Amino acid sequence: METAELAAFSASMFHFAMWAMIIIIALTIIVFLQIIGIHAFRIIKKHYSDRFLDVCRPVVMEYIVGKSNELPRVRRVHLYEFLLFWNNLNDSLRGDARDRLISLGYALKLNKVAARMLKKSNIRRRFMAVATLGHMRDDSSWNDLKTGLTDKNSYLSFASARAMVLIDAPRAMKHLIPSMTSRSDWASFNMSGILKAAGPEAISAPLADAALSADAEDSLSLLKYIDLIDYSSAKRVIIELLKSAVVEEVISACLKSLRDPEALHLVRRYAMHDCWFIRVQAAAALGRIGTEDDKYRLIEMLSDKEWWVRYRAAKALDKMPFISLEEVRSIQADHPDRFSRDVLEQAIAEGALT
Amino acid sequence: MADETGTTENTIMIVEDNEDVAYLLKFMLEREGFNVLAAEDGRQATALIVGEEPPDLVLLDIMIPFVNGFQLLEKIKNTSGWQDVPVVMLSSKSQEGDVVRALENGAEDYIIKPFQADELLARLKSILKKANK
Repeated sequence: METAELAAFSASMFHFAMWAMIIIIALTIIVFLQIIGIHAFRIIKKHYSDRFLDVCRPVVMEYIVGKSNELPRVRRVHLYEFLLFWNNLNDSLRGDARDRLISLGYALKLNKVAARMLKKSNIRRRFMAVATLGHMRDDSSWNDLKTGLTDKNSYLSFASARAMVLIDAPRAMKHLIPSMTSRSDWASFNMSGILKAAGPEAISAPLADAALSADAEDSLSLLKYIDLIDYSSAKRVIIELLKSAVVEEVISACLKSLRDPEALHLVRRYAMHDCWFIRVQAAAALGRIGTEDDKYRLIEMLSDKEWWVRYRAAKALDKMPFISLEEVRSIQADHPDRFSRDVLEQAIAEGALT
Repeated sequence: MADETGTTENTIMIVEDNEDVAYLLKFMLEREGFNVLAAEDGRQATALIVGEEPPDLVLLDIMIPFVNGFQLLEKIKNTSGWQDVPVVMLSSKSQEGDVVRALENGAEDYIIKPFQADELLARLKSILKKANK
């Protein structure tokens, strides 16, 4: 390469490096300013939001304790903050104060605001709208809430379920049951909370009927909530399924929830089942509802080839009200099998701790 | 500080992390003539327990940041001068085990959220009346 060419190449490389550096510095400054801008925006927003709440909170409090009928002034820009505050109070209160809070909501036409908000695409606003409609017990948006049940966003669909239960629990159950079986993203713990809030009167019959008519997989999903329904409905479901079910998991779930001695003959039958986890639940059920005759059945189960069956049988023997600790000790001493004696020792020790 | 009627001149300490609920409780109690001391998390509450004169009653949430309500209850019951302060738990935890645990550890009462405002006030007044006798 000639000297002149080399100098030209060096000069162009220098220019390229210089411009690259300028662009990088400019981009860094832009990002930095953006961060400062976002931060400043948040601070200003929080400042105005706090100022709004400082003015609005005492007015709402006076209203809900029944000392004033003055309504808070809520400008459009503060609607979201107000709904957040209003819904938060709704979750924490019951009785007269909550009734007044709802009447305040109607006076401010929050149901109309929420119905409009529900049509927006912003998920945060839709979520707020659903919660508001539920707390207001406003059924004019029932169909929108029903559609919300199938939303791909778990939180939104779950909030829709909760809102529907708050508005009309018996009517909501018809729509909720299919979702309870199909939505694997709904946590059963949270669903239990909704069902508890709905109350056994609203949920017992529809849940029992659905559990009996569903296929094994759906039935199993619904059996998770069997303890929340009234005793007679639960008993009907469990006994019917114990008589007819063939899927092992369903039988096991039924035995786990069984509390009624009417099904004792079925439990005794399942105590000899080929499936070990059915025998586990049968042993536990015998401990809860078994008679003195079942003592010998449980002693036999202490020699089961599966440890869990032996353990449950030992726990059941230890818990049976008509068997004293001395008798359990004597069963242990007389038992020819070393593993049975060991598991009884563990059950006795655990029993002494509780 | 103490008043036999359990209405005025009494100081109630609120430990509640939900800003709106804390505001509501403060509003209700101040309206009834109580002095209110508020902490929004376990650390603030611990600082008050260590550094302040004991109030006449503590209204304590369970699920609060840093130090939970059960730990604070234990702290109150082990702090000199605070042992006899009645503690009322106010929580959305409604399981029997939580209620039993709180009462066994020395809580005077357990109120489950959502709560009824008038009922809460009546319970607090009744406890204060007993404590002031």
